[in-house]
Amino acid sequence: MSRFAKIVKLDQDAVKSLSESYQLGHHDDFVYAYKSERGLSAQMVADLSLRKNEPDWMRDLRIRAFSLYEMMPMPNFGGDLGQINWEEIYYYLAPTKNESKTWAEVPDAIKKTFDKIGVPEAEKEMLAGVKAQYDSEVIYGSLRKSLSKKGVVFLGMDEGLKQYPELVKEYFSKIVPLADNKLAALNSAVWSGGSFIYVPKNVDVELPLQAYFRINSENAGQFERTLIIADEGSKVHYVEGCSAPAYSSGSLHAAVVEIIVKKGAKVQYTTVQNWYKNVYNLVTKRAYVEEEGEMRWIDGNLGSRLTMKYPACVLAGRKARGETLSIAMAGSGQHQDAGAKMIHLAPETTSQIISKSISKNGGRATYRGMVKINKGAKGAKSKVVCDALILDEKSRSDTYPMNMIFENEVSLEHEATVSKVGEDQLFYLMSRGLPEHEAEAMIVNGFLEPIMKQIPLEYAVEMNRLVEMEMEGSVG
Amino acid sequence: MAFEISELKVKIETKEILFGISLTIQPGEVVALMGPNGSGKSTLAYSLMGHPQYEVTGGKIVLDGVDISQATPDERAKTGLFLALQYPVSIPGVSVREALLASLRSRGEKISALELKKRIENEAAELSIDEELLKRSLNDGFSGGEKKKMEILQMRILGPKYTILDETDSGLDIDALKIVAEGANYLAKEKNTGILVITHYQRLLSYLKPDRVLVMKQGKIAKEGGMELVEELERTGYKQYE
Amino acid sequence: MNKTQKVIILDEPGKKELIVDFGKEGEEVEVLGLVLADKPGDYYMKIVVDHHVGKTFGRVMVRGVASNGARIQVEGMIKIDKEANGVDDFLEMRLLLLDSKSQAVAEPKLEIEANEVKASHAATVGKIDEEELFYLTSRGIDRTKSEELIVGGFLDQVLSRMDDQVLATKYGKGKIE
Repeated sequence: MSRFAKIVKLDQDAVKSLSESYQLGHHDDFVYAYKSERGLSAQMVADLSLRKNEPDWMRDLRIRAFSLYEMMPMPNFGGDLGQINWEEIYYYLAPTKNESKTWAEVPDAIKKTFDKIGVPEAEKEMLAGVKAQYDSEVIYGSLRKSLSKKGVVFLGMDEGLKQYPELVKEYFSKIVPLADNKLAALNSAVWSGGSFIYVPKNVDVELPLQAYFRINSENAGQFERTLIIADEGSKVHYVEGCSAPAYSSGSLHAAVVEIIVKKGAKVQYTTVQNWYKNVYNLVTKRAYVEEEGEMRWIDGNLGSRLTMKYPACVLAGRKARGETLSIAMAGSGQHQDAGAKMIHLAPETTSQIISKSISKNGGRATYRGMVKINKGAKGAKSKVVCDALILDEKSRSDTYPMNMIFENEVSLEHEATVSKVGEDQLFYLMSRGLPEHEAEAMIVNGFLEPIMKQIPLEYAVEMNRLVEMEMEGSVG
Repeated sequence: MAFEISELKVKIETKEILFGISLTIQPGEVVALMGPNGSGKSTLAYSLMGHPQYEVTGGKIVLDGVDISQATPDERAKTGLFLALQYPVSIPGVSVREALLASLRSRGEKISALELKKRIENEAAELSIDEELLKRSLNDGFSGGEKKKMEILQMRILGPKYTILDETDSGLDIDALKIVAEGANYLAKEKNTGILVITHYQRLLSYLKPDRVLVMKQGKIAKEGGMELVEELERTGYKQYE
Repeated sequence: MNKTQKVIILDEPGKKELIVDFGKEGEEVEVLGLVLADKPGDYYMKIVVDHHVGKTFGRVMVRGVASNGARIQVEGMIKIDKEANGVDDFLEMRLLLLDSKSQAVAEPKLEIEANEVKASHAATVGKIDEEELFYLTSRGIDRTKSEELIVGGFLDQVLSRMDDQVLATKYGKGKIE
């Protein structure tokens, strides 16, 4: 139901199906080298570890995690998890073949990065022409060479465990403990794939490191485990996912990301999540930030049926800083339950949470956040801004912030606004010749701008395009 | 009897801003302090008034024989010092009347609320301040000009011995400027108040004529002179003082 | 226009709840909440404003001050049902912690199912603003009295709006005249 009379009447059915269909999507056929029986057991967990040739301590950790998973209750907040049939889910426990894509399907942002890394022309041609397929192994190889010169380690998590067991043991499950929540326990038991990154002291990794490149022998899995260690004074930016939509034959994605930001280090973790609309995306992300360290989470949630994700920072050292910038878009049949957690343990720590959400076509966007300022965290400052746009009368927006202040020499500010796209703004843009949906898209982009400008340009451009496409589907 | 600042050194957190400022203001004297942005003018104003964020690392501040170098802001105010802020904060729920009543009572003046109300209304009329603003929370929603005039109103009622005007002229139109200048002149001539006018521009000084002019550069006083110094700055700008 | 005011005051440890249901178009409700927590203990206030129909107008304003080991928790929820288009609501809660023993939990919540609405909230928790303190002390008012003035002004933002000024003066100075 549009506010403005249309000159051309579009076929309502066609329009509806356009907005519902997944235009960007394509399905690759996955080849499963091994598929487990339904459900999960301690024996299967042990088998998994054996097959991967893991050290004993990791196997024990997995088994402990599994028994915790069985004991713990489901989260009693957030979205509706009742539809997940835990028995029926196939847990992928063994390596599968590489994901191959054609050169044309590689997102522009990635292509630009090839230029930056300096992939030789011959290789580019090979990627584009002869095989008509692109193998990320080659790209990944070039990237690794330039990084290892600086002492930077960027491996798949399985490889990381093999090559740097002591380092992994020091931090694995220390930032997100096994019993943190049921989904994290599950991940700890059956994790496979993910990234392991170590940046040495004072090294600045100028190029964003991308999960996209790291797709090697492990599948882009459901239970990825990522561990990033940024040593003192270092700088690194990691990008997970990409705006290309991800089709997952598994409908449960329960990842865990642990990050340790050591003194004076700066880490940025950007996620653009665009899982297909059947996926349950339940992720635990947490960073432990030491003195004068800075952590920034940029979280773009566009896909999935249900996302529950609250990137968190534990601000453990003096003057540590944490930021979460979150964009969530919930369309028909979607529930984005996202937000952030900031825990201030030390003096003069600062945090900022900016959340922008859009719900349309019956979607539900929920902001769920927590700011906790502990006793002793004198001089701590926190600011939270959560704004929501509800585009039509079928959609819904919720805000559930929890601000717990146990120290008085602090300041906390929290603001939230819920609105729709203003008629005056729409009219103004339309009077300058823009059709309604374009005007709406422009206004929505303006709404998201404060966060978009913090994302590297190529990704911001991609995200903007995605938003526009999502907007095109909705006709007022 | 004078307001004497000797070798004042000030830092904020770890940054040193003032490197030994010395100046003396006599009763009834108008001293202008000018300088480029970042030269430390406002830092001087705030540290003279004892703002907790400014750390005095050396030097002395003596007002009419009383050493106030370690005193709290209210103690300094009671010895007779007033600071008209460049950016007056708003105090929700506290009107100018309440604030002034508390100020006067805290130094022992026995004035009734009604009497004060009348005095404030008279001053407001003289300064062309809308009576409405007197009832509102102090500085809440006031324009820049109204805030500055409100500072002058408070100054006139409190009648300090020495007053510091911190860029009181910035953001004012010509009428408001004249009013501020009149207010200050009145105090200097009729009440013998010593005035330190901190300003970036020459405009205010055509109405509030200084007896002496000082120019600051990077936390120190670089030059001293009379009105001719102001004219020179008008012509050449602050480049040599940056 | 159907304008009413509801006041909820918590000045002893304990719980107090207020639920405001908007059932008729044109209703306007102003909710004023005060938490005066100066004894050790838990003070819990919950305000729920539920718009079942459209064209309703709400304003919720809460001020809380904690001292002496008090622990305050304020939960404020604005709910707007699907059919309730044309709702305008704003919830504001500000909590002051006067000493190191006091604590506060602020939960400003929103559940919005209609889209032709204007709904927002703001919450702040902290201590007395240093700049406000400096301003008053620089005018000769000693620190304790300055704090009193600031806290008084803070609470007065709610008190001065109360229709029942007799009640207001019980807790503060009421309207500034």
